[in-house]
Amino acid sequence: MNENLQKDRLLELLADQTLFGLTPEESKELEILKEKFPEFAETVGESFELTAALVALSGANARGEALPKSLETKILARSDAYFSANKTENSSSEKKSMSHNADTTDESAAHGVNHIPPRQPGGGAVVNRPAAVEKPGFSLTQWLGWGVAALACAALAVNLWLSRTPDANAPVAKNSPAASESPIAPSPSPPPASAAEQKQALLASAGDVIRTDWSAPGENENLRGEIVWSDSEQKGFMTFRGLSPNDPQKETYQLWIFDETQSEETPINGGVFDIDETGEVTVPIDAELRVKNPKMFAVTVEKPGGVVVSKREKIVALAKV
Amino acid sequence: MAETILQRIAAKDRSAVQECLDTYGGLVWSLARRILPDVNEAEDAVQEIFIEIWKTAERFDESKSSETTYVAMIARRRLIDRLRKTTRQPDVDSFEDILVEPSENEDEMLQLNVEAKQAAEAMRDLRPEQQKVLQLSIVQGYSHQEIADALKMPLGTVKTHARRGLIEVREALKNRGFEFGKEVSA
Repeated sequence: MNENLQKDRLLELLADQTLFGLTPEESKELEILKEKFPEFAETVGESFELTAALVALSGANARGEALPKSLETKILARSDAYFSANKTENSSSEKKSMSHNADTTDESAAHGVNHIPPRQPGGGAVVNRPAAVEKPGFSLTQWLGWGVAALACAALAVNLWLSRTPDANAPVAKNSPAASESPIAPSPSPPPASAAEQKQALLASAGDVIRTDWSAPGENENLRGEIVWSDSEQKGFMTFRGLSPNDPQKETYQLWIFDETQSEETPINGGVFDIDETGEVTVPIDAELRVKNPKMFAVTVEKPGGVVVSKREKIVALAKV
Repeated sequence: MAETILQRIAAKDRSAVQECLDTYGGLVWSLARRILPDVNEAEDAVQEIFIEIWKTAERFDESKSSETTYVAMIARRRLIDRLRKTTRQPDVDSFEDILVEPSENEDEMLQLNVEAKQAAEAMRDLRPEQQKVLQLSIVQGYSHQEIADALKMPLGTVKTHARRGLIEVREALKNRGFEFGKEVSA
C-alpha cells in the first residue's frame, strides 16, 4: 500500500476511534500506522478529538442544566480527598507525556499520547494500572463452573427482589456485626468518613485501582454497581444498586475474591455484609488475606456470620476483571 | 496574564475547585444527562470526569483550545467509555426527537462559546445524512450499529457519513480560523 493510501487509512481509523471506537484488529492496525506516521497521527487524532468535543458542546443545552447541589457536594468532598492525597505527588512522569490531547487512563499513557483504549461493545473492566501487567489466565472452565452454579440461584434472586418494597431513600448498608462463629476478623476502628467517601478517596489516591462492574447471574437484571480494589492499598469497595435487602437473622451476603494466590476452590473471604435498604449502597471490602492481582469477585448468600468455604449455591453477583 | 481555572488547579489551588464547578458543572452535567439518561450513572460519571479534569489539568494548553473545549473533550471521552459498558437500547421512536436542528435561538447561541458556535454553524452546512449521523454518534453517543439499525442504513454507509461529516466540520473550523496544531494534509 503506498504512503498516501496508508495515510488515508490512518485518517479513517482515527476518525472511527473518535466516533465509534475500534475493534481489537483495528486498534492493532492503528498502532502500526501510528508508528509509521507519528506526527500525522498525533495532530490529526487531536484535531478529531477537539472537533468532536466542539460538536458535542454545540449539541448540549446552551444554558446547561445546573449541577445538582448534592452532586456538587460529593465532588467537593472528593476534591478534598484528591488534593490531600496528591499534595506531595511528583507529577513529572505525567509532564513527560505532555499532550493537549489528554489521556484518560494510565493505559493510554503507556501506549502513547493519542491512544484511546478500544471501546468494547460488551463492556469490560477499566483497569488503571501503571504498566502492563502479565495476567495469568483465568480458565473458562473455572468461570463456567461459577456461572453454572449461579443459575441455581435465579429463582431466589427474583423472589427476594419481588418480595421487597423499593425505598426511594438511598441507604447505607450496615456491615453484619461479627457473630461469635463468624470467620471474619472484626474491623478496626470505624472509619471517619462514609464508605462512599472512602471509596472516592481511594479512587483519587491509588494508582493501581481495578474497577469492574457487577453482573447478575439469573434474572436479576436490576443489579447495577461496581467493585473497586487496590492491591497496593489492600483496600476496596463494593457498590450495589438493586441488591435485595436481606434478613440478617436468616442469611447474609459474603464476598469472595479470586486472585493469583489462591486456588479456585478456596477464594479469599472478602467479608460479610447486610443490605437493609434498596437504592445505592457502598460497602468496604474486608479481605481476610492479602489479595494479589484479583481476577474475579463473587457475592453469595450464606448463613448469618458467613462461612469459611462457600457451597456456591446462591450467587447473586459476579464481577470479572 | 491571569491564570486560568485549570492552571490554578494544576498548581493545586483548592480555591479553584469551586470555580471549576461553578463554571463547568452545568456543562458537564448537561453532556452527561444527554448521553447517560440514568441519573445514577450520570452522577457517577460526572464525578469521574472532574477527577480526570483535575488529574490532567496541567496538560491543558490554551494555545490549542479554550478551557471549555478541553473540559468537553475529557467529559465526552469518559461518557462514551462509560456508555459502552451499559446495555442501553436505543429507542428508535425517540430518534426524531433527538435530531433537532442546532439552535437557531439567538439567545441560546450567545450562550455557547465561540468555538462551539462555529461548530454548530459547520454542522448546519453538512449534508442532512451526515448531520444526522454525526449528531447521533457524537452528541448522543450511539454506536454505528445502533445508528444503522435505527436509520435503516448499511453499516458502511453510516461510517462513511460520520467520517466525512467529522472531516468536513474540522475543515470548516480551520477555515474559520481554528488552529489544530501543525498543518497536516488530510
